[in-house]
Amino acid sequence: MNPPDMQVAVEPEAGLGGELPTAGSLQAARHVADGEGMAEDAARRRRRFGLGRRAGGRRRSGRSGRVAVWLLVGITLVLLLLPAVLQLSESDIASTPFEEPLSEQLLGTDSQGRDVAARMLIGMRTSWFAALGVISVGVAVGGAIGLVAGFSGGIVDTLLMRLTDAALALPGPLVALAVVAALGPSLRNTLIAVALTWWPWYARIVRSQVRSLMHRPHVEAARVGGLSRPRIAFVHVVPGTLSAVLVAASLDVGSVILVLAGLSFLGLGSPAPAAELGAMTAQGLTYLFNAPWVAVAPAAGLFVLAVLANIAGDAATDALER
Amino acid sequence: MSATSSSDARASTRAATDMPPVASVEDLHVSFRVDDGTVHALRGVDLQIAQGEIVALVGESGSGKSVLGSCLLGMPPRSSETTVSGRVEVAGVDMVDDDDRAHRRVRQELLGAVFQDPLSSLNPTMRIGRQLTERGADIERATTALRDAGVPEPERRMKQWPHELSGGLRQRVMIAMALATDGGAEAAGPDAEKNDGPLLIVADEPTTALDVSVQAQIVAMFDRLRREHDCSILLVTHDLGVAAAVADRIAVLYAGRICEIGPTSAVLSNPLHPYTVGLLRSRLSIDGSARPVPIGGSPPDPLHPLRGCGFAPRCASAEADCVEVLPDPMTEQGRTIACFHPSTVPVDLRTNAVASTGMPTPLPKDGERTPRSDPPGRPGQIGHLARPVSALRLEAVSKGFDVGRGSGRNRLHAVSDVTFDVPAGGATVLVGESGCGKTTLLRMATGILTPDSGSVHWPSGGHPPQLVFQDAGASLTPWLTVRRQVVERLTASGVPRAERNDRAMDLLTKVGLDLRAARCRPKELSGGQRQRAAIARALANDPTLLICDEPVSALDASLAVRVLDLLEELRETLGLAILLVTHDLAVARRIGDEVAVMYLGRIVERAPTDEVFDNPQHPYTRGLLDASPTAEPGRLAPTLIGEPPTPFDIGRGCSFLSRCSFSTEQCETERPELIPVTAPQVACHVRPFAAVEV
Amino acid sequence: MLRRIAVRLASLVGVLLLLTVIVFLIQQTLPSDPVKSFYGRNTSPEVLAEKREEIGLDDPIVEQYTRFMERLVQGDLGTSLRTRQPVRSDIGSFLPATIELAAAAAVVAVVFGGLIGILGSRPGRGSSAMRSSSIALAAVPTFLAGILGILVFYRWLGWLPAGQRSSEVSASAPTGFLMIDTILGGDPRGLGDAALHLIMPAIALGIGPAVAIGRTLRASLRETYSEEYIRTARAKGVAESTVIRRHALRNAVNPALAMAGLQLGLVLAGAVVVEVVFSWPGIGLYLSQGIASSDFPAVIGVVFVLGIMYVLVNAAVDTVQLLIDPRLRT
Repeated sequence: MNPPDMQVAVEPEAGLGGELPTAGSLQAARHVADGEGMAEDAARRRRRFGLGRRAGGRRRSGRSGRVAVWLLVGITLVLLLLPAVLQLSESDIASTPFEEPLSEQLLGTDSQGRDVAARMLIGMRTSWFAALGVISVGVAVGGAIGLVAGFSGGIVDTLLMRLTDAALALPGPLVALAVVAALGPSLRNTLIAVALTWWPWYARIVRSQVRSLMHRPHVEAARVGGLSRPRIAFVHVVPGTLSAVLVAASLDVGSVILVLAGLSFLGLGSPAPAAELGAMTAQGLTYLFNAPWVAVAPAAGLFVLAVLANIAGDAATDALER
Repeated sequence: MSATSSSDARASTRAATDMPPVASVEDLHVSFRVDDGTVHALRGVDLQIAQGEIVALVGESGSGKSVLGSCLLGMPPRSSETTVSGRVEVAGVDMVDDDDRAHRRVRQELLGAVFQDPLSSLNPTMRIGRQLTERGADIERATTALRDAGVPEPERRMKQWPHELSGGLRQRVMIAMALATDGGAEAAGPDAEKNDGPLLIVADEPTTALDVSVQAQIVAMFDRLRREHDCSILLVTHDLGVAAAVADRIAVLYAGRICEIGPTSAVLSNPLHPYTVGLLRSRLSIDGSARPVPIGGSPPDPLHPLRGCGFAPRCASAEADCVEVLPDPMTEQGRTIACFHPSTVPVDLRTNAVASTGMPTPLPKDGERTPRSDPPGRPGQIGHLARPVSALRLEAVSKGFDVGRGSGRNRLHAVSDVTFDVPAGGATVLVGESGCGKTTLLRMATGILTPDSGSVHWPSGGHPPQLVFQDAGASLTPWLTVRRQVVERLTASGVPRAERNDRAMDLLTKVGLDLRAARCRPKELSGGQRQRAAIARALANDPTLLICDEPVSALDASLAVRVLDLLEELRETLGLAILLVTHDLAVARRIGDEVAVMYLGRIVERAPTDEVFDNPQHPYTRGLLDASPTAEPGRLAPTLIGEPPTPFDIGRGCSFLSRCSFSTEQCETERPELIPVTAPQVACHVRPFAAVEV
Repeated sequence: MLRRIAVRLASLVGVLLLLTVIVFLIQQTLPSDPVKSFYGRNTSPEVLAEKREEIGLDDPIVEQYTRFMERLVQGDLGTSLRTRQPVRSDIGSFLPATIELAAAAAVVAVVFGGLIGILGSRPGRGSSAMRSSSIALAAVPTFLAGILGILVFYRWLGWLPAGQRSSEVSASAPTGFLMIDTILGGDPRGLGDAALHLIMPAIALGIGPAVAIGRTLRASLRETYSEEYIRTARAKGVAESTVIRRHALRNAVNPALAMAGLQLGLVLAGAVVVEVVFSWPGIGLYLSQGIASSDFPAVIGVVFVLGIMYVLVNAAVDTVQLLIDPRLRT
């Protein structure tokens, strides 16, 4: 076995070893939480039993991966096509107000006689794509910042990370709330506000992945081997960051859906006739005892969406962490 | 030889007086499910451990030896669907039945455990003292145990945290924990002192993660502890040398079954089972006359155990009955053997030759080439002098690092004033323990680290030297195929597109990998294959010098030998120079023309290989040699005390002062220079071993 | 160790400063003209200009920020456009209710989270069931939990009241915390009543964080179980429950603690939603009303106060982490 050589003591950057998560560095906590450190588990078990085999199983990860992909693609397609196919509209007056579910419309009608089920589906579509949009922007912006910080090192890295840490230390949803309130309620502003508060996660994840990968033997081997720096960066480092980012992103889908819903509940999403699940629930609160379905249906729709997103996220994590 | 005869005598005395064995294993079968199937870890093992004896359980990775140790502790592997059948008794208590409470009590009062990695085996958030007394021992017993285990200043240590101690100290703490049982109420009478402590200590690879000199101290300590506390020890190890140093009996395990058991000296000088023979012959030793012969074939698959003898596919004397039927162990005259065709001729450890002519060369594995059967001539000292061009030349190279922050800031003098060269086509081995600076030196030799002072040259020109790492798997990019990684290097070297693929395949074939392996990603390959892939990739740059950082220390003996053979071959065919860094003197003996010994950032001795081993001049070199385990029973007599320090404050005098038994006043005030200018060189004022000049 | 605490304090101050900057910038981007909103639409432009200059709205930004900070340090958060009261006193009167709710939810989160974590980490069939249910529970929007709670426990079963803090007591003194004041006042019925009212909102608010903490703890415990020193402890014959308590938990708790800190902070944000659903008279409800009426000073003020609380809670959690793990101290 390898007797500890001095070199380990000397590396000032190898932060991940001794770094325990603080409230601000959620990346590590979430990584543990949702990834369950399966790879580490398996490695330890392997060593103890002297096996050369993965206790985690190739088969299971393949299946998880497929589950995740099917779910994500499936939800996207259904939500994209269904409203169009059924020609659902969010403001059509379908019938008399406050019709009970299963009488005429599937889920009844609301205070203005609109089809609750139709509005719910449209709302789910909006939530889904809004969440995907926010996460994509967050990953893009955060990832870029993380890459720059990780590869530059020195002052640039310190500055960017101080900024990121400070941003992480603030409560995201609250700041988003304030921003939207200031800019005026609209879907676009809400998306911008939430994306603005979400990128720090990814910046931190990407940056710490880059730093840890840069110290790995295979990167050192590449440097000794005379490969050019851009080549090392893009071929030998960046692909290694992808899995961590994807894990975080896939798990975030559910959370973003809920945060957006919360904001819209408070009136900070698209204004009135728009079918947004949070807003619909808020409007339905007034009639909670007379026509509970008006409030419950959109909230339940959110729940279903978030559950599916979480399952997909968990499965993706399983597959990627292997 | 006196040590062995006394332990032999002790063993037979025990048998004669018919004392009940401290632990006995009967027909133990252990299997458990993993995702790919069921692992059959142990398939019918019988073993007995008498009171006060040290039994070494020897096996390679995957043999099931750790599982056996765990079962003795009453802690079989926990996973879904573990099946355990058979009997494991410790002091009369069955350790594998359902009575968890009884097991716990036995563990608390009668058993002790020492595991491999002292870094992770101690709870980092608990003070040492607390962890020692947890079992029920009081503070006094705990402190005594620490002292017994050789921990200096035991009272102070009790209050410290694990991460404040070095690796060797931590392992001693583990041993102290094993000793500090809940002796409590039972001990009474004049024998109380002697009977305190555990009945049996299970030590699972206790020294593998330690430096050689520390390993020797700990192994010697096992012997002392056994005598002082009259406890038995089960020493689980892959290293026959460690077993030879201290065990009374050796049990060899392969594919979950016992191959042979017998008194140490008997097993080592007259092995009966072909696997034992193979182990002995494939062992790298510091005694250089024997060329190690690797066992052919590949390790057994615990998911699919064979119907017959597990070793049959790799056994040169296997016949039809071996493949069909599992041989049962048979005991006769104190020796147990499970083989239909045991070897009957003694092995001469000095030449690895087997007297009878009936032993053909071992079978090669798929995708690997046949190892050469005759040792290549060593390009000797004369050749070295005749080739003035060096592949690598270091002149007065120094490098230091600033560590810590604020008030704790310190300068680590990793490398201080090192000068040497590696001749073109030559092989120099750099030997040293942890903290000697060898890794830093290597990185400067490859050019990715610049020295603070001094210079690094590659006079023979050509492409810069390439690096082969210890952890081959980690040195290969995980998401690229082997072929792509080799081709990438060729591209960077300017090889025209049309030739790249052919050159890549050529290189891969040279190291013994086939097309199938080339298309794999690193994690799909075995340890040995990964090392070869890393070598092939390094060769793609067409270097004149190959620098290897502990290339074989993580591999099993047979694999290690094969990789070393490959390096030797490449030297011959490509005229490659090699600079190899290792802590294992046996590796140095095998492959180096010249050996340079490093201590605390300096070279303390440098000479042609045979001279270093036959007539070491520096006390440190001699200490390392004394500490290196050999397959001769009971030989281990470590002379080096203490642990390798880290080079922070280097005083004016000799850096080896703190561990040297021969130092004089001059050593304290004047730093010894490495003289003379060319090898053989030594940096010592005293030179206690200098031969009388005639 | 002291050095580390000092560093943490310094960064705490830095973060708070950043918060003020953000709040200030947000204020600057408000679309509506605060002067107009305050004095009414029909005021003449000259008067408006005069007032604007009085307040100093045309001065350079840095000066405005300085003045903003000066006021802030004195605790002046502006005046609510809706209630016409200083935002500070509005928040002051509503804050205790929110703190009480948040504290109760925190207790729910930690207790249930701890249970989920410990029970779910044991190997066995139960753990995968727990895993699936935690995936589901984590997806529940807070308002759904609240709504369903009301429908089931009030409408259908009639066990718990539907909203407000109490059916009997309206204002509360001296602390503003009903649970404490009723004890101090020797009012057992009031205590019981307040408690009943507190249950549903607290659970609705606490479930999400409970699940998050539970999952983190579970994963962290599982990882810790496979550590070598657990094996050592078992090999010494230590009882299993002691192993969990003394060895595993102590090492596993840190990531869960970090998650708890984060979640407790988010509880403050989630309280806004819960207060709306349950008509709980806290600053969340105040905030919601402020949003509805474009009462920006109120909105900004509440966000600021909640932000400070969040940052402080997390700083406290960081310090606790330092205390627990000695490795962080060096």
